[in-house]
Amino acid sequence: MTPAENPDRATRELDLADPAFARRPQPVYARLHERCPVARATSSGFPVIPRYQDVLWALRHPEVFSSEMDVHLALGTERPMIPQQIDPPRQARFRKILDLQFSRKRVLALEPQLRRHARDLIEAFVADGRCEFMRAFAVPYPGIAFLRLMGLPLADLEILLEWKDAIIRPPGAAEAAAASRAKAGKQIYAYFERRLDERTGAAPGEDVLAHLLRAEIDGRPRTREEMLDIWFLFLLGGLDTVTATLGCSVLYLAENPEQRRRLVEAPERIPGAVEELLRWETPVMGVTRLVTQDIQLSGVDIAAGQVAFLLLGAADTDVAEFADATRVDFARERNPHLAFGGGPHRCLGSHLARVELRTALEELHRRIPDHALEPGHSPRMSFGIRGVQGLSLVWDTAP
Amino acid sequence: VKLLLDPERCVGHGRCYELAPDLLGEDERGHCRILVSEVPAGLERLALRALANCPERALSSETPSGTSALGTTAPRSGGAPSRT
Repeated sequence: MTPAENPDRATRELDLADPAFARRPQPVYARLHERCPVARATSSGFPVIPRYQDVLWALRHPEVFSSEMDVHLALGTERPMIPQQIDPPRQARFRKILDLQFSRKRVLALEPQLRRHARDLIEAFVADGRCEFMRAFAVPYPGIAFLRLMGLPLADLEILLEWKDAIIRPPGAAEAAAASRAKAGKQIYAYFERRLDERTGAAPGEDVLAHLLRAEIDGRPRTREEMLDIWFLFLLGGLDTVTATLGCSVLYLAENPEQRRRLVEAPERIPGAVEELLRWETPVMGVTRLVTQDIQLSGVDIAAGQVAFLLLGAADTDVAEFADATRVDFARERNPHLAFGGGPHRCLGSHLARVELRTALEELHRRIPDHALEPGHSPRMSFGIRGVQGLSLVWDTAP
Repeated sequence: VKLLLDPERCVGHGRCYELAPDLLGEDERGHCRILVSEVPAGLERLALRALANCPERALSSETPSGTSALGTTAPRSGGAPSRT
């Protein structure tokens, strides 16, 4: 039993803010599956949904589990982010355009360029025999990829990261956090307003922003506000989730040398490992949805008006769905994980994320096959998006 | 074995065409397109693997004996959502 769980309550409570839960959530997920089809968040009392089939059903039914919520739940934004915080049918009209820019075909074309960036970053620290992996690689790699894809200046990375962090991991208690988010939100809008002005009437480009500026929604150009609401989401999605996933994945491989050796010996196992680490770690632990009507999931009543937390990480380790669910198997035959969500809101950047993760693990283990956690170092993770707060690795540099 | 796609369920995860690029491809949005619906001998296992990895259960297979349940996992008993 962990403090994250209170087994005495008839309706199980889950302390989502417990740092031990974010760091190693799988044992908590397993206990939820044993005895709790719907849990309650300790802080809010809102329902937490752990079962795979329930989570998948909710993801596929936005008319019951809606992404359209009050602005107070949003992240420093003045309007809903598009398309994440709007539902079909309006959402579908945006996805139709956005999907073209993030298709697998389109991101695979970027692979050689991304791989070069990965190599350059690794070459800068490989001879040191140690690094703080988040700062040295997991933060800048997806950041550079994002700026290249968007056609934004690479020099803007620092300030964009600062604003992103002020929104996703704001300092202090609720009030300070809201202020931090609101301030960063305004700065992000102002930044994109400026970039939008520069682009208006400029020569057509091939980057994502240029394509979006030319795109039409229902036969009309998108409005300025729609453009800002899309870019806001790109920033939060593009600069945080792959960083967190790289942190979770490399931490797992540093702590499990026999698994890491499997990848070093046979790099063709890496695509399977990327999927399995997405399943096992599920770095985005869950997503929130507004319940629009009274509903029953796994025999538990859920009243309309509540905000449900769909626990993607628990769904991905559900013994009712995955054979040998607690075993990490890079050659798993059947792995329909929900680490990128599902239904109409399936992560827009999932194909980009996969290319970044695969190239990162390939290049890292080609150059540094034998990394390990620095002795005595115990990394911490943030809740929600499991961002690793410092990942100190060491390796042998002797020839 | 014959592969069937429910385009209403596909949202473009891309797991299927990454696993079985000879049988399944992508449209310009990255949604699944069936390239070869009658799976050639020797590729059945790959086809079923592609199908089983779809999180949306958008793919199913048909054998001479009827539609396979593979990839369309039945809900847990008592777990099917119902409106109250």
